[in-house]
Amino acid sequence: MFKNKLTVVLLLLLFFSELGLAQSSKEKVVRISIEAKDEPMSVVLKKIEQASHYKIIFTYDEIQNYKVTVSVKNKPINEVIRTVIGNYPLAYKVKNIFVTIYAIKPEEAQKKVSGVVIDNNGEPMIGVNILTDKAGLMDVTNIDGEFEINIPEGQTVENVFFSCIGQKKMTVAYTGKPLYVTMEDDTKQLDELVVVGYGVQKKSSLTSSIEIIKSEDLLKMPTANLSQALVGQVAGLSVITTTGDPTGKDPKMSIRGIVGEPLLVIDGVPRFGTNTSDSETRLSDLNPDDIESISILKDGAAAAVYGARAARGVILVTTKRSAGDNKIHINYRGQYNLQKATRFPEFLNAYDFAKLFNQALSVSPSFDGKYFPYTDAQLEQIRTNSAPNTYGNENLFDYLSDHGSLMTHSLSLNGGSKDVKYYISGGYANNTGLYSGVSRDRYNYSIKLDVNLSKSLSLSMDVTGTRSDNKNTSYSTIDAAYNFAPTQLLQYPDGRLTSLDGSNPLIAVRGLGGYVQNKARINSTNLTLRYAFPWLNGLTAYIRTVFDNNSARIKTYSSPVALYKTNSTTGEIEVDSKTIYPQANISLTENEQNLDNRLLEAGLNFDRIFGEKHNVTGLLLTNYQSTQNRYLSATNSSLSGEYPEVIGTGATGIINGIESKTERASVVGRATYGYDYKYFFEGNFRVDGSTKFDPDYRWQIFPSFSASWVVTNEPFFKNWKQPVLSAIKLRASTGWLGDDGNIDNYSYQMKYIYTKNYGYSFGTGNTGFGVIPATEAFPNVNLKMEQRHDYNLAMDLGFWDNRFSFTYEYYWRYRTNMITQVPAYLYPPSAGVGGRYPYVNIGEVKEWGWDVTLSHKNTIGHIKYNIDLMVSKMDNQVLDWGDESSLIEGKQRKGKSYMTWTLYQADGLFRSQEEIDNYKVDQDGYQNTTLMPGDIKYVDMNGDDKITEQDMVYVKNSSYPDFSFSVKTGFSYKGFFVNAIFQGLKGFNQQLNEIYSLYNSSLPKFQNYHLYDSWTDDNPNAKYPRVQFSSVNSNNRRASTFWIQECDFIRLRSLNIGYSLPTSWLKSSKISSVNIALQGGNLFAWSTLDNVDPESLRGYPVQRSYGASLSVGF
Amino acid sequence: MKKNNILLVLVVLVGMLSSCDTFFDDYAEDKLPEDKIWTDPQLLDGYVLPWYRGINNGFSIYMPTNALIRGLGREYLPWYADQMAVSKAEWYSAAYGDILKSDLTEMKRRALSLWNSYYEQLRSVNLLLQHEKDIPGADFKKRVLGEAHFFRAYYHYLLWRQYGGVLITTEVYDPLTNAKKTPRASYDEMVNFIIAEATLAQSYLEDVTYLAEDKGRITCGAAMMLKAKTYMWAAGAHFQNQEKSYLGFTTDRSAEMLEKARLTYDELMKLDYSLVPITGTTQSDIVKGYRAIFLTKNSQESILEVQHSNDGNYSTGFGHKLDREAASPYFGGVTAAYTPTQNHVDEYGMQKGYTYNAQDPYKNRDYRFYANILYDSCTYRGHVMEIHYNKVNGVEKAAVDLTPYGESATAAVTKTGYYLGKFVDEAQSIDNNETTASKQNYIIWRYAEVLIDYAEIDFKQGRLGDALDKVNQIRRRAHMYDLDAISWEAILNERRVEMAFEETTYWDLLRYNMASQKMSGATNPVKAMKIVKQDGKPTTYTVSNMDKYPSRVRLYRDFQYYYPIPWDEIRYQNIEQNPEWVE
Repeated sequence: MFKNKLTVVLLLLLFFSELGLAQSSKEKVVRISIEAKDEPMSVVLKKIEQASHYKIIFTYDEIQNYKVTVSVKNKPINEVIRTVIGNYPLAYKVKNIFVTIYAIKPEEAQKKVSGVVIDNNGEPMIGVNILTDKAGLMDVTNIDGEFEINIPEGQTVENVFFSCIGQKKMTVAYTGKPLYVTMEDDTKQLDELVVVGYGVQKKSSLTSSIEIIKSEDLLKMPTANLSQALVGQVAGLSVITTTGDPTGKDPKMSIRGIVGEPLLVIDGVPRFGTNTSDSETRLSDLNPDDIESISILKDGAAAAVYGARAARGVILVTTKRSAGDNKIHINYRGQYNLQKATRFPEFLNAYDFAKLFNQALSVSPSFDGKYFPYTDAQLEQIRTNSAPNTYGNENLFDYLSDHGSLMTHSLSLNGGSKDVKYYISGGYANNTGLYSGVSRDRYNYSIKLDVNLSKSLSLSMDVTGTRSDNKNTSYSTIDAAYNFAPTQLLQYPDGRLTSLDGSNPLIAVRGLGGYVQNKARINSTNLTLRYAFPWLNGLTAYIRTVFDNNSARIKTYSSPVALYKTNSTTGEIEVDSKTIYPQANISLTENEQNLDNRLLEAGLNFDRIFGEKHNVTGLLLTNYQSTQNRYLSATNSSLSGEYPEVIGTGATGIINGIESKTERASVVGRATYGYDYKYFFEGNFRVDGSTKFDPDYRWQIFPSFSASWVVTNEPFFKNWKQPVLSAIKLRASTGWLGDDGNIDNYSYQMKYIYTKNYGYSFGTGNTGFGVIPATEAFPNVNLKMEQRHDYNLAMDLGFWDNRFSFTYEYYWRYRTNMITQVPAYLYPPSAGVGGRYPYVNIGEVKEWGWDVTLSHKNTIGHIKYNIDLMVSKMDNQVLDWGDESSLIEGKQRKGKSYMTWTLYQADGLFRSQEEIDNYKVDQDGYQNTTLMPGDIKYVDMNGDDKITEQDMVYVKNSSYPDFSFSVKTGFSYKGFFVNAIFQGLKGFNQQLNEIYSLYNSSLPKFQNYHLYDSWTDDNPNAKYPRVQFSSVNSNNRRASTFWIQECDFIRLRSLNIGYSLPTSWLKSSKISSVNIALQGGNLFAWSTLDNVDPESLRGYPVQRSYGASLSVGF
Repeated sequence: MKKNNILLVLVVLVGMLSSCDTFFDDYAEDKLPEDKIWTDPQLLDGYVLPWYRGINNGFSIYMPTNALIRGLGREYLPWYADQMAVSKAEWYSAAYGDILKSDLTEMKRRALSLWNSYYEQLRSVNLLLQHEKDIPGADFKKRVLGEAHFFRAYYHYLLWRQYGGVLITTEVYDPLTNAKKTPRASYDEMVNFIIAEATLAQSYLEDVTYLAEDKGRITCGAAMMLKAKTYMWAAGAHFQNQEKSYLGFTTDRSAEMLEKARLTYDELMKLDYSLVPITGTTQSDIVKGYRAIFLTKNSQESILEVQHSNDGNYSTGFGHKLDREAASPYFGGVTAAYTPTQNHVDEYGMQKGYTYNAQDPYKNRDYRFYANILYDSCTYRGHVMEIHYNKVNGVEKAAVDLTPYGESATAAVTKTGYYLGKFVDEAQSIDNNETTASKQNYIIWRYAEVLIDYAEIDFKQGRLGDALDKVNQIRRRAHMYDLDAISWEAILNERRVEMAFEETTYWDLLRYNMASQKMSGATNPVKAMKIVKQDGKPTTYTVSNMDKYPSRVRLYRDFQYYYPIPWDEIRYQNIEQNPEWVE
């Protein structure tokens, strides 16, 4: 009784004194040094209080007889206290700055296993799994690192096991006292769990090539689009952003240089790959905050379980689920970014434009009399802006917003016990573009339940979905900038818009005149029932059904906007009758797309360790997937005046529709064997059937084999005393994959459709429907799946306790029986397929390359940092391309790169007339009479003194860059952190002739380099040819090596600077973590291409963003 | 209990799988299978329509300047000759402009696309003929077979006219399974084949009559006309005494071919064709009547027409934009694509008793001039056309029909001084509405051509009186006076006036071996009329070359008589290419 009172008093005293001490508690981890030799424990505890800001509460009676001998240096409080209490029957608790020490009664202690788990820094660890031997009791630590298990009557406990991902496993002998356990970082990181095709494996036992991207890395990117967040994350995955338009396409992704979209598998269900339809779920539809991890399957052995759809690699996305730790976790994350164009092209002002226009016209004889030069008087008007109703000095970019914005909010709630777990989340993202009416809104939700129905039966039920709403004006405004000359007045001084042949780009900029709206819904239900067979340890079975029901409604509404023109007779400004009713009408099109994706899957899993050293796992499953697509499009045009923006209100309408279905069935199997954590073997197979091929060629088996050797675990290595080399693992794999190609379903059948496009109108003039072949390619009943045979050799090394690690992977693969449209020299046009050549299995290509990842992470005092360098290189060569004997050598593909451009070989510019006169090759087919100085000179490759198509050469198409690299770095000091990703491409070339040449159906738009860096008499050493108006076949516009421009770049993709509030601050509140950061995206770029952005070129520019993010956990 | 749960789930799963009738459906649910077509008259009716659609786009032109789709462009053939010019500058950077400039790359591309589309239709015809025995209904079968054999002949004719002797194909073949090679046919073989197929068509169609809703289908008369045109082409001067048999006859067989053409025309003239009469007698009534010939679908004069749809849609139907593309800016036109040239205007004669006055050039001309040409001060759609400049204080200012529509810098006005009057429909609305498209048919053959061809044969065979009579039949219909003597030039001129802007005027230049002379700017520049009006002074009429560098804009080289056969065809069949074409 008295003791308790004393405790209360002491507590109160300490509480008040604490007020003055609060500031000193800012240090997150306090290190204490203390020396004592056979001193009373109470004295030692006082010493600790003096040496730190901690207040130690104890009952003197309980410890008065205890003597202590300690010597610790720079240890956290937990460890110090633990040393001090040693073997005495005492326990302690640390809560904020209070350390309570109390005696344990022997009779109580024997009845439970309890204690605290802390990490290296002395911080309590949440979510550590505790398991006892004998009784098999389990628990998980709470937020204070505490755990407590009651030992049932009659049971005993000898050892307690502690485990947690990323930490070394601990085994502690149970003594009846509370257990104070410090987990150690598993610096090898080898025992992370990795999501693989149809399963999960320990990283240490991996034999194939898989890269993992973790959730926290994805969330550092200032984007709401998951596919953009993959840029630069791992070696071997290339992501090229082609537009900054929030409603635009996803970036171009490829794995190890294979052209084409990888297969996207979300939570075990294949969703999007090649040849799938518009409404399939894509990465950009997912909420990045819901993602647990993403695995990139790079080699054949990893991907073979996806068979005929895996030839372009696989991206496995795993979403978050609840840990079931008896706690409720609430997490919020939000970010806000302002977005600006990285780079707009620079245009000329009206006067410079007009002068250059005249100059171009003077050297474009075939346009003479068709375009008219500006007269001197007009030029003067333009220069002085003295005819404001006739000439403008316009730049469309001036009318665009200075910036767009990106905002995301994401909230999740998860919790539950080990029998019922739940994860509920919702997300919202809004991205607004650079002109009115361009925006994307996305809403995500997910509800995931895991329930143990009985000891051996469990059910998982996921209901997830996305709502997205894209809005755009009816045509792309950025492109429109190239169609109008700066002299063309966009609006009269009084603000009325001018009629430029009935249109005006400001209609789109200002969001007038209608919109294109894409409302997409994605709903997915995933039910999985698992059963653990009680009669065979390690054997489980599952059944899964997945239903995706996606739909999209694309609504295009255009309504007339009155535009004005100057009446040439009266000089008055009047409305252009073509832009108002009845000559201009409202029209509305709605396109409804539906996708039904069904998957039925049943499988057996086996995982067991025999005799402690033999780990055997097995998997056998079968599934059936069908994808049904429906499109229905309806148009109402010629509508007048006020019209509700709903289809069906008009009298005349046109309706179109398409339905199609793809079916697949598969059997998948896997067996793995691991011996003593040293040798691992794995075999996989998949049998795939696809309705794309004739039943005779429909089924195909895809096997794979792989093995690894963990040298580090060999006794000889363990006995080798040296500090440098800490890990060695060697891997090798081979696997066969298929590709059912980008071909139609049932493409072995000849199919027809009715179409009005080939209809005809006899007599009364009503159009009858024509019946025409509807195949994109004529059928070939002998077509088979394309084969891909992969090899991968890899080496994982760790140095200096794995502070440095190095992974090198070399791969090569053979693609055979490639599904290729038969070349016309083997299938002449007179066969009458109208260019729709059938697909055949022609072609054999070898592709090879390497991926290197070099990582370093270290902790020096309070500073923690890591830096990862990733480099990838790839190359390819055609080994065989069928019978090419009728082609001249230069046109044969064998021996050349698979990706090629066919180009004229350019030899710079003709710098003078003399140079043209001396050129003996007839370059233009008119004895060079049409050439002028400043024109591109072409090389006569075959020596016939003419430039013909025979002189074109194959040049490697490096728009798929063969060398990419990225640097990922992080740095933290106490709560402060900085993260950055740099990414770059080398050997990235693009063909730019269409960008430079001036040809457009409307007035061409000169950029400043046309004026400053094009050939003229005064500037004979300019980079670009003379300015002129050209048609496709004009000399300077031909596809030639001249226009292959290097677009190499390095970008600072993301930069985060932030601060995490220390957990010690938050402990008293309900908040468990707070994290604030400043974000930047694409802040800096260096490129070999001047003039325009190397990725988006003239399109909607890639966005640079500045913003902040906040995340809070409860 | 737990085992029961599992069993239940398994039962449900098996039930779900077995509810699919078969494992895979193996049937493209939204498509028609091929084997159903041959026995179903409704499907067969649809099957033959693309043959019609594939022969010619009529007035439905398409001028993409975008690099990627330029090759798909469809131009109006007479633009390449000298009777009309395009005044829209941008279209010179379409494929049309490059072909006009004799750009080899573009011509090769065009040659490939024509070859592809003609052989595509031939494949379709041959496939049907391979299933001949399946076609139901005796009368129906006759019609379909008649159409099939006609198109087999006609597509070979189109190929032959463009490429010389080509590969005669009478069966569907798949080079993946059949390595058969086909040689180039000689002129003799081409003629024989086309005649044989057309004769077969003729015999199938002999007593086929069409209800009103089928008017415009291939008739017995069309098959005869094809035969006659085949002989006429074979008689062409360019195709005699050629070294290579696929470029022409190795001897001069023009007289023989002409005689065969005559016999065919004799037969054809026994059918019910006649010139559409013009009843009115005032100039405006004659003009109205003459224009009506080309606005009436499938008239008594018509032998074969491209049937444009009446549904007034050029997007989903087969309507076209002739009226809006030809219109002057006053009516809202922005393309001025069909502008007659001064070269052509000069071809119109005078009414009886009048002589040409250069100070008043549009007075008392052939009535067909007023019908075919919209000139300065004529009245169209109730508007007096002002295709001139007004000179005030020494400054020339374009009048309304020479002032571009709207503020667009690309809107075009006529560069020749004329707009089109033939073919166009005054009642057609001119706007951007794709559902109110023009609908008039494009005439391939009409009876007037039979007469003028026959006059040509008569003249060449020495029956001058017969030739004169036929020319006068044509003139009389247009209320022009009878000529009292005939000459070769008179026949040619009459042909150019009566068949103005029709496709045949283009092919005539090849047939008469005048193509390189008439279609090159250096030897035959396109001329334009410029009219300047000034108060108190006489109006000036100035004729000028339309292009400052005519030789760079229009060029036709001798080897263009034969388009290049696609190189892949040459390689595969191991045949010879037409002269001078290089890859």
